Amino acid sequence: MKLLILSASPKKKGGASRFFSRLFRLFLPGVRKEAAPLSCRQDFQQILELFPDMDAVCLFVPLYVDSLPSHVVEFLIQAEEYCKSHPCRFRLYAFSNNGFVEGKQNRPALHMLQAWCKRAGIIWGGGIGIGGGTMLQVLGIVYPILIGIILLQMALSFFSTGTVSGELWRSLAIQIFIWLFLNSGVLFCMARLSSAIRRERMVADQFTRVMIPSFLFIPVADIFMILSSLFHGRFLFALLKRDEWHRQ
Amino acid sequence: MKVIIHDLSDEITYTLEKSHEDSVVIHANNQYSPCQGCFQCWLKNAGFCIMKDSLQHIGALVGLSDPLIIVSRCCYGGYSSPVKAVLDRAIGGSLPFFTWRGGQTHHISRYPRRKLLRVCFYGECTEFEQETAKEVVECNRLNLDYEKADVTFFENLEQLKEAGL
Repeated sequence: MKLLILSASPKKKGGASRFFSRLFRLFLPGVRKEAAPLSCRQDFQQILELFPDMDAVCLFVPLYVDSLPSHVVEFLIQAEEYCKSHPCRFRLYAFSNNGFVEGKQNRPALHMLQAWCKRAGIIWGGGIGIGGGTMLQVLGIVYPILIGIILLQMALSFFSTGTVSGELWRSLAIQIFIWLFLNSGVLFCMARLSSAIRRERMVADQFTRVMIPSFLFIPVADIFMILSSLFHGRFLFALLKRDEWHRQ
Repeated sequence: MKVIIHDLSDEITYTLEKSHEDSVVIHANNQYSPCQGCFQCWLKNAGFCIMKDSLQHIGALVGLSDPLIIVSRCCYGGYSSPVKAVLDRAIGGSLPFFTWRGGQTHHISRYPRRKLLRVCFYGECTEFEQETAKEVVECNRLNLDYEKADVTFFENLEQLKEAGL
């Protein structure tokens, strides 16, 4: 059993797709895995050459303007030709994530991949649509830092007093529980898909999301955008301006 | 302002354009750099891209286009890669903030609501791909903030020429 994990974010660093692909690898201990970026045209040939050796390919892709990003569509066209002319026998699985809270908004992207499978003669293994992908990625950075700080406090407390207070244990448990709860949908879907990959089976497409209610998602995401713009030296009002290029 | 984004050759577009009204035509010729996903058009610039090429202000152009006409080869139920590269670069037409539209979260539009998004897909397209393409266009309508979306499928370029834009 050999699995190829493709991370199709065009970003040079970071990206929710890369985050999910790293998380997913933890679900497949003992499986021979190879990981490759699918960020730009230069990556295409190297990936195609890996295809004939693979039993499964798992694509992690971000949703761009309601469907697959342009470089992924270009790759699929080349990959279709390649799969028709080479002995490729893998199953394609996919994780599509978007910035909106609803995982179902990824359905067109998963259907495009399913349509590709039919044309390329590849078996569609199933896909997961993840809503609130960017938020989960940010939480995946924030919570390890929080947990790391608590662990540091515990270590300091142990070395200075010889004991660790119940308060610290409680806050550690609470932070771990909150992170697990917010990610519970994604973790469940990952467990299900990893099991399907191991058993070489198909699963029906599934949609999940960050586990916060939609009415909370909007203000939290908006505050995140305002904070992110501050890092770029801009404040709220600058973000609301229109591009006056056509008047010039 | 009528804006046409297409992946056809220039000659075909000329024959397709039956009316003489002013329009902006963008030839998606696969020469444009794709979106890098940096979101600087949202978080740093007022809707324009950091890449200084002819698509730098595509967000404003799409944001002000009515009707927006997209002519694309149907690829697996979506746009062709060259057309998609243009659309991916146009996210600056919306704000980074979220709102409810059509029962789902979407980005708030930076520009006023527009009337018509028209999409012409051409090339061989299965029924499943047609359904997917319709779903993509409906999502685009909500996201780009158009009142109405009109999707047409043409089996070949001759049919498209006959129908015109």
